[in-house]
Amino acid sequence: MTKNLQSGILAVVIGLAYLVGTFNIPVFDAADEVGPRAFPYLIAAIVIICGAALIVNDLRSSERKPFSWGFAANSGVWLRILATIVIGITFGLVLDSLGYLIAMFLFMLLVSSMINVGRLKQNLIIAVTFSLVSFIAFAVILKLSLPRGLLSGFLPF
Amino acid sequence: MDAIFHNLMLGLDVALTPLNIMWVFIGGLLGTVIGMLPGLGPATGVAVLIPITYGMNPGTALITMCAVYYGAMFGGSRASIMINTPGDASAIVTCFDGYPMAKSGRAGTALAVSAIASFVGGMIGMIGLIFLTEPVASFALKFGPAEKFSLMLFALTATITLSEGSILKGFIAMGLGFMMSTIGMDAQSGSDRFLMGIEDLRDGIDFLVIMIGFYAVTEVFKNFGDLEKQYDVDAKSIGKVWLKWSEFKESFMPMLRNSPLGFLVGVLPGAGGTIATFLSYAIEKSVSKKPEEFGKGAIAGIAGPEASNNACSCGALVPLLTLGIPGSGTTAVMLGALMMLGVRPGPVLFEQHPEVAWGVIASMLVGNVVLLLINLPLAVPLVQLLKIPQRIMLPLVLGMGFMGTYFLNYSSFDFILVSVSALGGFMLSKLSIPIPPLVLALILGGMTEQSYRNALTIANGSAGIFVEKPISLTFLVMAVVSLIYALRKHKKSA
Repeated sequence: MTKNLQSGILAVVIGLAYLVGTFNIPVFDAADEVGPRAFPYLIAAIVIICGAALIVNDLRSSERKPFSWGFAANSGVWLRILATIVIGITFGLVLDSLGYLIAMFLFMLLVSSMINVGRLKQNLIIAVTFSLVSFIAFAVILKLSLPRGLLSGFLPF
Repeated sequence: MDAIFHNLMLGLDVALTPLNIMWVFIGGLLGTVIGMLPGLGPATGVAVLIPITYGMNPGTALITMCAVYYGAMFGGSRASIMINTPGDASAIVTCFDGYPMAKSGRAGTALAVSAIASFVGGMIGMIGLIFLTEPVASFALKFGPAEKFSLMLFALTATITLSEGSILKGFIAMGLGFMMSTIGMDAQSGSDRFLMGIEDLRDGIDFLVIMIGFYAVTEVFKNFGDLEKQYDVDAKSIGKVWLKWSEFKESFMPMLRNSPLGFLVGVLPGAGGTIATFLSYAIEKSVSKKPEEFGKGAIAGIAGPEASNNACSCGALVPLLTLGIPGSGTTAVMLGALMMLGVRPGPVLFEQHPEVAWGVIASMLVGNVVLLLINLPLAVPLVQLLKIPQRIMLPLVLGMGFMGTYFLNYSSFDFILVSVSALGGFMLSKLSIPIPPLVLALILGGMTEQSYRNALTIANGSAGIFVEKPISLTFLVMAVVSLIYALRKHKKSA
């Protein structure tokens, strides 16, 4: 499948799903005359029509280069993306309980170990410096309220 | 004239305090550094540096953000000259002659031409901005919902049709942005829309989180394929970052010629620095007595486009500040930053808070001078930063992106949002679906829908209101013309 064909199919699928979602928007009598569904209908129509046009244009085109996402060929890139997402979401979940300093240190250590592979000393320096500098800058100097978590009883500032 | 002078003085009063000048310097320096980093560019610079303004008073925060924006614009071309890697599309042209000059041992001259041309372009652009904002803002005060809707439609259509690539994909991107803007509780009727069972979405999607996803995290994802990349910058071969009199004379006319041109291109919604710089390069090549030197290290090939680019970034502030409409990814992020600081750009801003609107303009004026001072004497140490390998820089950008996300709302749900949008941004770029129309539609979505519904309510449901009002009709005609122009251009090139 070509890039345009995949884009077109994606647009039509998203547009249809959005259209179904639009049908389900509750409409109250007290609402304004136009209502909360009018604009979404318009958007769904634009996306579906453009997606369909992209599909038709592509099928009629003589130059059709197949497109690959490169999951196998660029597995390193996709694995790193997946790992970043997992580390990022986990960071959000543990931030309050561990506290900003520890959570940010772990986040930086993990992402830099994944990117800067095999250089533990450098990664430790990056993680310690980034978490400390950002904590001092924002929590101490700019007085933002950042969670202190496990270290709340030990921090001198 | 008196009113403009009075307003400018009011703005300078705000901008010229020692604290604010210090932050203009820091913001400008940081903006230059991030805007310069290869493959990242100004939009990323502004997105990841938003957190530095937390905890500041609103005026200082605003001035710092403007300095970051301006610094990122200055920094974009450093990487073009030194390592042939533009920070963003508007710095591509600087590679054509800047890099050959650096390779032939004239990097210092190229850096100086670029900094001085950026300064001149910025100053001429500022003059245009100062004189144009008041009339445009007063005119925009006459806009009702129909005019606002048509204007936004025109701005979005122009963004799609003036950018490279497929028009259909541009409209799909715009549709996706609008879809995201409709998620959450509808402000007019109170109906929940597209929550998908996720309560955290009731307040809508914070577009700054999405922007950090698209412009910071997605950019890191794109660089994952080339982690061992490291650039070699030889500080000794740069030479003196200054111009000889003959070189200055050579660059003078190109700067003067292209600054007004760049400014005018910037004022048009959608036509950003890329169009301005390519246009200026073509003009300089055609009027040059030695066109054969272009591409081999012509000073005019850097001076013209660089002046044009910075004048263009001032021009882009006209629709941003007076109408609240950004024309590019970078100005969209800038609008997000301003709104986060409680400033809603638009005509009302000039009427109700002239000190804020003019404070921003005056701080850009001060920022332009400060950035020239940063970019001439500090050019050599600054470009050394280009040596930082990707594998060290990328974790730092990720750290700043996630940290900035948390500081926005202190919500762990935003980490899911930033991760999903970064993945989405990466996939869209793989499919060659442009990001700027999506971001613009996401930001303007709420306002566009509100204007659309208000206009229809006023007209008792008749869509005729959009063509009956002369200003609205003019914007719609302009949108159609830009679409026809783009379709014909595509047909010709096919």
